[in-house]
Amino acid sequence: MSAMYGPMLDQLRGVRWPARRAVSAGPAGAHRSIQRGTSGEFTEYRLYRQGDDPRALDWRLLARSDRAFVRLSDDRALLTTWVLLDGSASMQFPAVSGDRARVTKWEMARAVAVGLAAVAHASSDPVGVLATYRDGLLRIPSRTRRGTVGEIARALDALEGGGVLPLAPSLASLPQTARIVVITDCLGDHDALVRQASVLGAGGAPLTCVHIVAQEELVLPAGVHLARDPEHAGMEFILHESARDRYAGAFTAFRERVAHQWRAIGGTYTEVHTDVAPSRAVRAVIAGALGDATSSPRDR
Amino acid sequence: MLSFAIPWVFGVAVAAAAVIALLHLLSVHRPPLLVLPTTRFVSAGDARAIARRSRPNDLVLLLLRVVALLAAGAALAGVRFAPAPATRGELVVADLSRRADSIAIAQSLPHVATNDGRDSARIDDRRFVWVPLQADVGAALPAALHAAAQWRANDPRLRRIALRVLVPSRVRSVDGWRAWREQWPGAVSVIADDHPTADSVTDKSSRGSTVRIVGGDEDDVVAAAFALYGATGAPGAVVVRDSGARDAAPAGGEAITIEWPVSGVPSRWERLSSPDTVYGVATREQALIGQFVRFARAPGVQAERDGGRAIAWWTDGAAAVVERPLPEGCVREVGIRVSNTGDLLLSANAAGLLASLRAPCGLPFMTPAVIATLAGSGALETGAEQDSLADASYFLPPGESMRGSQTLGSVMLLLALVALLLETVRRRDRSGTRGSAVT
Repeated sequence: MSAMYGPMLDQLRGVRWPARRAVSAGPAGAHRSIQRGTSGEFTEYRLYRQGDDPRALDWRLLARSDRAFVRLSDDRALLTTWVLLDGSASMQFPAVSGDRARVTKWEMARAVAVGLAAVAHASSDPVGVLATYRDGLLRIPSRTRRGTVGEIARALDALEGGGVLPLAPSLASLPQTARIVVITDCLGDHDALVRQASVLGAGGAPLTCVHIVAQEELVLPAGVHLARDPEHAGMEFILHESARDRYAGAFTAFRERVAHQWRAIGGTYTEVHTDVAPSRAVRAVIAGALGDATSSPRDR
Repeated sequence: MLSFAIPWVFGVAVAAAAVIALLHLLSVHRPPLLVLPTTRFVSAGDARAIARRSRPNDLVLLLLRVVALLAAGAALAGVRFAPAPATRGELVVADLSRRADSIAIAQSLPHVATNDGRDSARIDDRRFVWVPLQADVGAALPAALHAAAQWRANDPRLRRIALRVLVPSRVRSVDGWRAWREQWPGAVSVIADDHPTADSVTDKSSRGSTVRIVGGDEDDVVAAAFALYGATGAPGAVVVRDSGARDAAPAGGEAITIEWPVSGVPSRWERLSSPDTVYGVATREQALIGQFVRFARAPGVQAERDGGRAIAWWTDGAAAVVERPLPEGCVREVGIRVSNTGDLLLSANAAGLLASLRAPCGLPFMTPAVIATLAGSGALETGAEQDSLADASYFLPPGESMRGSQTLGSVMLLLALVALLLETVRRRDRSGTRGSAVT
């Protein structure tokens, strides 16, 4: 298991990740359910109707006011969390060379996935992972048992990026009742992914997009280079100094469009850069807003 | 000054270096590769742009490559130091008997003796070699080879050597010429040295044309043989088969007297106490094979003193026929005893012996026809000009001729290796720098 997970998990201890909306009915958990029940946490009174359980009657109120009311309370349910991880070739950036320790987008994506899984698992939520990688697709079923986070961390550490599978079909296999977190650089089949996510969002699934952006993509190296796309053979362009401004403008517009797409379908969007601490990135994702560690395209 | 054993190899190296330099200057700079997932956001208007720029920082690399190529080419081409200026020499081989006339001979020879096809090659130096050529004119060639080797060893500037042979008017043999001719690596100029005219030769040797037999039996096989092989136009001769009969016979004015006693013992010869058996007689490159009984031995020392010479030999090397000069013609003593009962002397193989006996007296003349025969042997020419001179380095010992070039060639080879090593190191440094800047 990567050494960066330990400090990150320590820093995330005590962090909770409540659902933004009431979740559907399910086993008892930490999230507010759309189902009203008879739990100890009082919510409101309602006039007794024929068929109600007499045990829900507030007998004291009936004695004082001679009116029959039923005590209502919100039910608590579990929320299954699925993390969909993009392990395409574009995530293997920047390439590691020499002794310069640089975090790749794939490493940052794995750290954020483990962090989110740990936070969700701390609320006793089942956590599952879907990850594309070089040799195919990894599926770790959602579990609540102890050691799930460790299993996820070890499984992700064993994966190598460079996969070619699209994300949209994998997203389609996830249940609509689960909270879905997509960690990607949005450079693959993003449009199809958004369309599929919109279907899940319409079904009630909370959607979260974590857009991993490398710092080297924002600030290109100096000099003239021959830029080559790792996922599209033959896509090569000469990167002049004069083309940097146009590149920065196009990349910013792309990130804004991606953020708009996710928010338009009811999801949340968080841009995570590779030069921030993973724990701060996880907190930003949970908060659903951008903090100090990350910034939106508009801020640039 | 540098020279090359194989100049075209160095020319190839120079051409290759020029091509490399040209390609270097015309090369198109390819910017370092940057693997960028967001390449799609680079403006498409910049696609396929080529950055052509001068690369002064690569001049050291280019210099190392050119130096390595030229040094290797020089080493392979056999580079060597050549003292300047190169000279041309001429060896003049003349008969030893003409040594007293060396000054006159030297003055009669032109200094522009050769022509290599482009311009006249002036002779810078000339040396004479005096060799007895009357025995065999071929002796001129080994003597010339020896003299050329000594000359080249003593004079490193000597580049080309011309050879001129002054052939005396009479020589005994020209067979050695053909054997040695291929050893001289160039053309040879053969000049007739005071040759008699063809008319004088004819006048002197053609007095009479018949063979008169004096003495002997009526069915003498010698008489029959001369009658059978009496060539038209041959000089007249008298064959004395009986000493007593010669004195009694009237003189016919023949220039050649052949003393061929029936007993096989000429008057001046030493009779052997015990005759032995010999199985052949050789003359004029023909051998007459048969079983002969030898009864006498030629007086070798005395014959030489009298100016005599052998013109036919037994197969064991002893003289079988000796010619002695006379004030008018010559006498030939034949120590061969032949039997009248046999037809050995009538066979075709005896024609050589009989022709030698009827040949003109004295040494054979080097007539223009003979010189023309020599001229037909290889590159020989009879005129004063030839197309090629011998390379003086040919006469150096193999080890010595390559010693200088090996030393300088080794230095050049080492220089090429060092340049290649430096080029490799510098190229790797450049690759490493470029790679770290890109990723």
